[in-house]
Amino acid sequence: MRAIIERLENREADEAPLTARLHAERARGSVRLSMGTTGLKTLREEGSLKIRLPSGSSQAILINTAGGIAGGDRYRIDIEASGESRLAIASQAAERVYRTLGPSAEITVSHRVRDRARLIWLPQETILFDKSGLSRRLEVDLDRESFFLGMESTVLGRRESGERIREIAFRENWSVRREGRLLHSERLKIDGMLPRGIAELGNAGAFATLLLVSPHAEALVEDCRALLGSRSGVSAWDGRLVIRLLEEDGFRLRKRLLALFPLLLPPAEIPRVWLI
Amino acid sequence: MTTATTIEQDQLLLLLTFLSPAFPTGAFAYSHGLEQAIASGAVSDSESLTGWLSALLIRGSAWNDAVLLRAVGREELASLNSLALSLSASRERHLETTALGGSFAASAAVFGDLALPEGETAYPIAVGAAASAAGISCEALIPAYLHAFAASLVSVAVRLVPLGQTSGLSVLARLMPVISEVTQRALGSTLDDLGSATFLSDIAAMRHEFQEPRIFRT
Repeated sequence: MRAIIERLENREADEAPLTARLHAERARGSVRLSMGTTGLKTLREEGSLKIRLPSGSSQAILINTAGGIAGGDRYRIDIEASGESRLAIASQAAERVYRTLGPSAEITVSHRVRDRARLIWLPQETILFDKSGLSRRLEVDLDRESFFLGMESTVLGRRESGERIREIAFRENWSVRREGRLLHSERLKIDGMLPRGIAELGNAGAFATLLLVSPHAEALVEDCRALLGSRSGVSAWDGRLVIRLLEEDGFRLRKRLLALFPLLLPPAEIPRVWLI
Repeated sequence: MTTATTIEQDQLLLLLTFLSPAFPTGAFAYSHGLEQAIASGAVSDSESLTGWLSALLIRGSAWNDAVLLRAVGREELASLNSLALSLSASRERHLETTALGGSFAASAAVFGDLALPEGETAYPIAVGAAASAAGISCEALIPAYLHAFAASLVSVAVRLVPLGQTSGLSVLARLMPVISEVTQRALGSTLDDLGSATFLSDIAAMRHEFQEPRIFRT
């Protein structure tokens, strides 16, 4: 068995490691967490998703024990923050999505923020390998005075390791409601060859979208703009701020994000896993 | 690819009216971020203009508009309009679709009641509602809409790059098969097919906000 494990682990980098392959096409995981005035109200974990919430802390760490994501995997994350609570969630590590011949993996994230609570959703990068498939859905439900900062960042292979990716099936759908009304949607779709045109990805190897919904969102545009590279943009309207980042690789993307976080959040709310 | 599209003569006249550059929507004032792409050098000739516009048609905002047009009459109009508005990629994109939508609705009311939802209207929803009220089919409406979209942006580039009129027309000629292909896909689409990958076009629309000097509103 050990020999098999070693052989499998020495395979090409875009093949899933043994732990993920043994559960090929089947991994399931879900987390439900709710925070209120007096702290943690509910915490439920199933399958390969775990969440760690150090006592007294407002920072939660999401852990996927499946060792990466393969086609057909399904994950669900439900977070609720109410009663003026504050919660910042990040993943423990970058998530890898491996090559699949079958269906895409599905990740559904649902956030509900009420009563002037603050919810910060800053998972670390998702690394897509060649021929990987991922469909990610983010549903956010806010009331008038709550604060939400959400981000998804995606790296197309790891360029520094010489990996080249050409083809993926990737969908990213966001639906953000404020007081029941649809405020903001994102519909990102890449199906097949990476779109490398001048209006598309160009030669970028990493991208991210950040969304801030807060009564003060629009005041931050100028400061954000000063921190962006030549292929990124920021815009604010109707109580939200959107930042779209394109960078050459994951390293440069991370550097930009780390520069932006202190502008958008007080130091105590920046997830520590990003700073290590 | 050629598809026979039949249309009643009175509907054809209305469609030509709605999507004519002379229809008073003020479309000539919007570049959809193209002014920024020209200023940054990304679009500098007919080749790059064709690439820029093809992407918008195949997997960008124009594709999403085509999917929304297809959904008018099949989905509840107020929620379809909210969805259309929420898809705006930036402040100026929101301005563009609501300003065009508002002017279009006001002008089209001359030809009949559109029964639009209260408040701001996204441009493709206003156009789709007017076409639907006149009984104009999506087979006729979608290629006409995409053509008007492309022709309007070609004329932006003719003025700003600048390009000769003939070069501008040759870009439009090259986009015609793209428009036909996108129309075919849009006719078989549902709202699940919404989706774009025109990152740099969306970013150009954002960067246009602080471009100086600028002639266009977007």
